[in-house]
Formats: sequence, structure tokens, C-alpha cells
Amino acid sequence: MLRAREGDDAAFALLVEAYQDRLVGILNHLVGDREAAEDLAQDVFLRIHRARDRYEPTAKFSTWLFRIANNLASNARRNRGRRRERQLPVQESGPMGARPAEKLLAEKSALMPSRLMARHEIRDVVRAALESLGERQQMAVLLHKFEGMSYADIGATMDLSPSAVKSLLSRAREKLKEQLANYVQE
Amino acid sequence: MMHEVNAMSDSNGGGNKLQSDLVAYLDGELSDRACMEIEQTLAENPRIRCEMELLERTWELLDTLPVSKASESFSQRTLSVISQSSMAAVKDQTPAVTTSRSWSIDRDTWLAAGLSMALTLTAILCFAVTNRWMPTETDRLVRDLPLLIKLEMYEEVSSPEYLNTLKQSRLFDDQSSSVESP
Repeated sequence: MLRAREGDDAAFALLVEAYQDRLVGILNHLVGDREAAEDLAQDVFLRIHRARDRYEPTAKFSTWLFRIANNLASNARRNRGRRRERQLPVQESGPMGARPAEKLLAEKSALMPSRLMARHEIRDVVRAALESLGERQQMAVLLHKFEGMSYADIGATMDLSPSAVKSLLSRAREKLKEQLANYVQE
Repeated sequence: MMHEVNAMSDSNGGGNKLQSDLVAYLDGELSDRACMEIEQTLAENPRIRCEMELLERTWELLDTLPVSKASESFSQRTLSVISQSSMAAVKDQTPAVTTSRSWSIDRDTWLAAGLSMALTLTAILCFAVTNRWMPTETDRLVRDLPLLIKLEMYEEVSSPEYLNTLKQSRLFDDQSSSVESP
């Protein structure tokens, strides 16, 4: 990043190559749509390129990257929420009824044995459980699970203290545990 | 069993702390001392141990989520967008630079003009002051003109004391007045 800051475009291209999969992966979990995730990831890199002169190597580059991603994803979800509120005033889930993920969440109370569920079904349930978390809980879970970030790094990314991250992750994991109780083999 | 732990958490003021400490323990974020305390609690309390195992298994379920990657053309598209954006930014900045530069030139010109004007005014002021208050050679000649007119006569006399005596005698009052005021 320091080379990119000095105007080395090849170095910036290497940065894009190095972080694109991780960034798109996290954003895809957050927005639930790969195309939208790639658009957001592109926007993240564009903003980083524009702000590269101001980069100070006091924090990890990945922290800076995911901080921008978090803000953009948050804005995108907010905008999408507003559009949904305007477009679907009567039925919360739209004219087609409940979405598959919502159905799956409803089905979790049916006490279906996990051994009978196909792998992709479990995946959908887990995805629905993740989507049921609050925005910040979801981001903290993703950064910790898929980026292996420490509480301190997550805090730096999300503007939170490590103790706030600890509390946030505790509540998130408790909620996930409740949501997925029927699919966890005891 | 899980409900028992939750009930314990709800009734016990330290329940939330225990819950978050369990999670932090699993995440490797507890201090050595706190780890020892948790491990002791786990050894003594099978319900807490079960709770921790549930948390751990739930966390492992997240591994079933698909890990999506960027498409093959992503980096190329992104770098192309960035390149276009940079060029557009440079284009936008060019008039601003020109304006800034021209403003800079104008400012220098105005500064030079102002300085010149100030110097000129100072020079005029100095000339006026010196001309008004400092005596010149001409001033001295004008002041000494009566003496110069009578210089030959004064040189013939060559004695100021004699002239004073003559003046006191008023012998040449009429002539002297005619000479002094022609």
C-alpha cells in the first residue's frame, strides 16, 4: 500500500488481486448478492485509490479496507431497506410471499433432525440465521469467522472498543445458537 | 439444559459476563488468568461445559456457508474503472490548477504594483519634507543677499566697530535707508 500511495499503479493492482476474493466474500455474505457485492467491492477499491495519499501505516491495511467496506455495505443495506419499504408496503416479504430463507427459519421450529437435511439445506438455514442478526453483529461475526480478526482489529474496523466487540460477538453467538439449536448435533 | 444455563444467566448478575467470557475463551481473547477461571468453571460445571460445546458447534456450522470469490474479470474491470476515474479527476482538476496559477500570478503582480506605489509615495513624501524643512544652498544665498549686495562696501570699511559707531551717530540714516530699500 505504501508503494501504491506513492503512485505505483502496479502495486495497487497487486493489492486488488490480493484482497478481491476476501472482500467480495464478506460483502456477498452481507448483501446476499454476488453482483451487488462486486459492485460494492469495486467502490471500496475506488475509494481506497482516491484516498491513497492519506493512508498512514498506523493500522493494518485490511482494517482500513474492511472499515470502508463496512460503511458502504451499511449504506447499501439502508438504501435497499428504504426501497423495500416504499415498494412493499403491504407484505413484508413482497408479492411472492415469504422468501426461502424466511421459510427455512420458520421451519426450524419443526424439529427436523439434522441428519436428514441435505447439506445445502443446512447451508440455507445457517445463511438465514446469519441474516437474522443485526447489521453490526453480522459484520463482527464475518470478520471474526472468515477474516480471523482479533477483537481489537474488529473494533478498529467498526469503531468499537474491544470490550464492545466482545459483548457484540457474545450476543451474536448466543442468537445463532438459539436459531440453529435444532441443527446442532448434541 | 440450555434453558437452565440461560435461566442461570438471567437470574445471575454475572451470567452475561460468563456468557461473553465463554465466547471470548473460544475465540482465544481471554487473559491467562481469565482462561484459568473459565477452565475451572468448565471442570466443575457440566452445564456450562455443554453450553460451551453448543456455542462451538454453532460456530462450526458457519463453515457450511459458501465462500464466494470475485469473478475473473473483477480486477480488470476495477482497475479500468479506477483508471477512468483518475483521468476524469485529472481533467476536472486542470482548470482549477490554471485558475489557481493565474490567481497566483495576479497576486504577485498586485503585490509588485502595490510595493512600487508605496515606494513612490514614500519618495514624494521624503522630498516634500526635506524640501520644506531642510535649508538648501539657494536658501542661504537668498538669506545672505543683503550682505552680498553691500559686500564691497563692507570690505572697504573693514572694521565692524567703526560701522557700529557710524550707525549709532545716525549720520548716514537717510543714505543707508535709501541703500537698504531701493
